[in-house]
Amino acid sequence: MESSFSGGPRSLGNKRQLRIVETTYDVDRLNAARQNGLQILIITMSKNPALMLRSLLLKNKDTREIIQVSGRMVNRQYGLPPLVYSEKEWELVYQVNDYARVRKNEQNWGAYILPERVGIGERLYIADLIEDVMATAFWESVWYAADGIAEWNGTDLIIDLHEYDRFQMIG
Amino acid sequence: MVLKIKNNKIYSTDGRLIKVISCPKKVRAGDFKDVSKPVFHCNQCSQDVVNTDFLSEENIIDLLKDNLDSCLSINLMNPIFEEVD
Repeated sequence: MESSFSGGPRSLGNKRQLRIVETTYDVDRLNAARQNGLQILIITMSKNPALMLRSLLLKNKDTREIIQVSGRMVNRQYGLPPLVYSEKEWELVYQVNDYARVRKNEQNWGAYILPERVGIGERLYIADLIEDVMATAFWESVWYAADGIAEWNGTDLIIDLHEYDRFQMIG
Repeated sequence: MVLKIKNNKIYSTDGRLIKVISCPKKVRAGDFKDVSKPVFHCNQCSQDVVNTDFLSEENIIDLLKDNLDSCLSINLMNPIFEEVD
């Protein structure tokens, strides 16, 4: 189950109709691709600090109501004043450490299979991103990137993090 | 009321175009340290950027009525906006 403060996955989509990198977590599929002459890249998964979520479990000293909040001061929209959960009224039960991306299994690697004859500098679409990347955030919530756009440099796929800027527009 | 965003244009609920989101300097949110503040300054045009995270839909419409060239920061995760294809 995803954390209360995880927005879940967020996708860019393949709006430019780039060629697609296949993602696999299966060793047989990996070997089949290799035998067909396709280039493969094995990726080790690691946690991204930007996706680590911290929140507080608080208990009201009078009513004993328990709430989970992002902090003792929570910003609100529409110019409303922030909500304040003072130590006088709310006792800290637990500091919650969580992560914005939940995977279906505990396997710590995945692999990309490149399309045929990829040229250096070609931009490709990764529909299922193995790496943990923060796509965007709003107030206390964080969304992880479900997909990505990357450039092949002859050795690695370099994920273009600027692509996620589209979720925060300025102008 | 939700403001719709399509092809970098903001429309009111009744379909009226209220703003074209366009930066002549192509700045990005990542270029600013204080992007989470209600208003932050952009040195590229020496103009303030209004962070719509802190505004209501009505606030945004009123702001743009007075000054169509107001520079806005818009987070597409903000539920007051809906991105449409």
